[in-house]
Amino acid sequence: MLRYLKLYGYFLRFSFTKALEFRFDFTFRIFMDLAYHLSNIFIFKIIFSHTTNLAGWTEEQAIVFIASYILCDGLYMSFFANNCWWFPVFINKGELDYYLTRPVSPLFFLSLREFAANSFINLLFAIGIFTWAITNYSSPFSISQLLAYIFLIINGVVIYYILHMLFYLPVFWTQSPRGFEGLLYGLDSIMKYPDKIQNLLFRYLFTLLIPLNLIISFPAKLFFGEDVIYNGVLLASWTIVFWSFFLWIWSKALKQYSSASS
Amino acid sequence: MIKHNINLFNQSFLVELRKLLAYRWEFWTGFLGQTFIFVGISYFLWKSIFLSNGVTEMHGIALTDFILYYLTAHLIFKTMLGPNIGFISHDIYYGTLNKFIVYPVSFQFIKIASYLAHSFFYYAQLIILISLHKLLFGNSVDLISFSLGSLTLITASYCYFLISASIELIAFWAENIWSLAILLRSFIHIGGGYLIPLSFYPEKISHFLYYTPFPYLIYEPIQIFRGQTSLEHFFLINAILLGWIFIAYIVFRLVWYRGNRQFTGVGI
Repeated sequence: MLRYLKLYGYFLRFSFTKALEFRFDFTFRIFMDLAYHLSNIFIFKIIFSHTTNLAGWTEEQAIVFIASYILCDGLYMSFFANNCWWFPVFINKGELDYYLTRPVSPLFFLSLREFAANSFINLLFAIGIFTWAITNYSSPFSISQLLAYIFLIINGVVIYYILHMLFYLPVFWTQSPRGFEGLLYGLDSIMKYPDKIQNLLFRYLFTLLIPLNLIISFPAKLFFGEDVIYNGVLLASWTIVFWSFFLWIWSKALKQYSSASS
Repeated sequence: MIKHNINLFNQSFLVELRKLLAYRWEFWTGFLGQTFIFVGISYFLWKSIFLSNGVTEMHGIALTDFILYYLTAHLIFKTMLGPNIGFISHDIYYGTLNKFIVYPVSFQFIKIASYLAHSFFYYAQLIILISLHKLLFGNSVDLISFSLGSLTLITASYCYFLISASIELIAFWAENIWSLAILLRSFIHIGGGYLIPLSFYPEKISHFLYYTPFPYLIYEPIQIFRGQTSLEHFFLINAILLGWIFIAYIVFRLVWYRGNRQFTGVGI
């Protein structure tokens, strides 16, 4: 464990050195992320200028929800996004060998090798927006509830990462350079809105099969005290099932890898 | 010479189209996922708002009209977008721009050919899905609106091509233009009414947006496709778009000229 932490420390150091070499990109990435965050809040502000509730949620709750989405996006973009983007390219070009032959877990190495230091400022903004949303939320909540909520958002980030990897893993069989990322980008919009707006079919599909609703909607519902036992048990059990399924398919995919490039 | 150029244009167009159709799985998952999911989730969002307000129409748009709105919004956006980010900047970074400078052919000419292949690909989807919408809902886009909308889409696409190409050319000076290109897309999403129709925006904001090119790229073409505008309005929108094309073309030429003067052709 200590060895992995030390290794991650090196990853961080390299990532920051690399990012600061590209100052133009570093600066514009800040503007880009800020524009994206503000546009998400803006959309909800527009929606609530035409209604008083969205699928049973007030504006305050919806703002906490979208701020949680922004935080989740900030965490994913900083820790996992760059690594996920390069993952199908490594398989397609037969460059995975380098990661498989190192004396560390290939999954750890491939998933966390590059910290997006140019998204780090974005993460700070995301934390700021989340803090702003929480402090403006007028319903009472305890510190333990808030900590549990943050833990569930981090759990959501892990689910989101697994989901991305599952959409890239077919590359082992299809040899396509981008996997099914086109579909995944389309699906992204699902998690930006509360799951309660969806019809029954969509809700089952995006809770059980492609669990986008578990990323933000379920943690938010738990924080707002909606069906705590049902939602909590579903979220916990499905996270375990989903993680186990990912590890199983990952081992199958590695057996399929041939080192051949395209 | 003209024959040679036409031949070259056709070749570039076909090669790009072949590349697009090479990965069928990617095509179908991208097509189904991006279009249907976007339209589906947007429809559910408005359905929820309509239900909570207890209304059947908002700002002159009925709930079922939102399906057509988001369908056209998404496919207009995709048609206009053309190739992925990097369609010019990669040539600068990798030094492959050299061939365009050496060959007796216009750089812009070849880039437009590959841009059009992508646009054609999504325009075909727009035709199919609008036909499907007409078949299912009947009260949909008529032939005149579709023709006027298509003409506006051509003008809007060329305007977007020049804006995005100017941003790509910043690669002459900057080491990465990805974030700038994404920033442009975010502005179009918000300022163009891609996520929420502009009629729902506060008046001051929508009034301000009409001083930018964004509403003319997405929102206004949608309104023309939906048959919500008069013929005079169609001409006005296209005239404004031509004005933006003129400005964008001057910027494009200026950036291209300045960038070329300092291009070393080494690549990375």
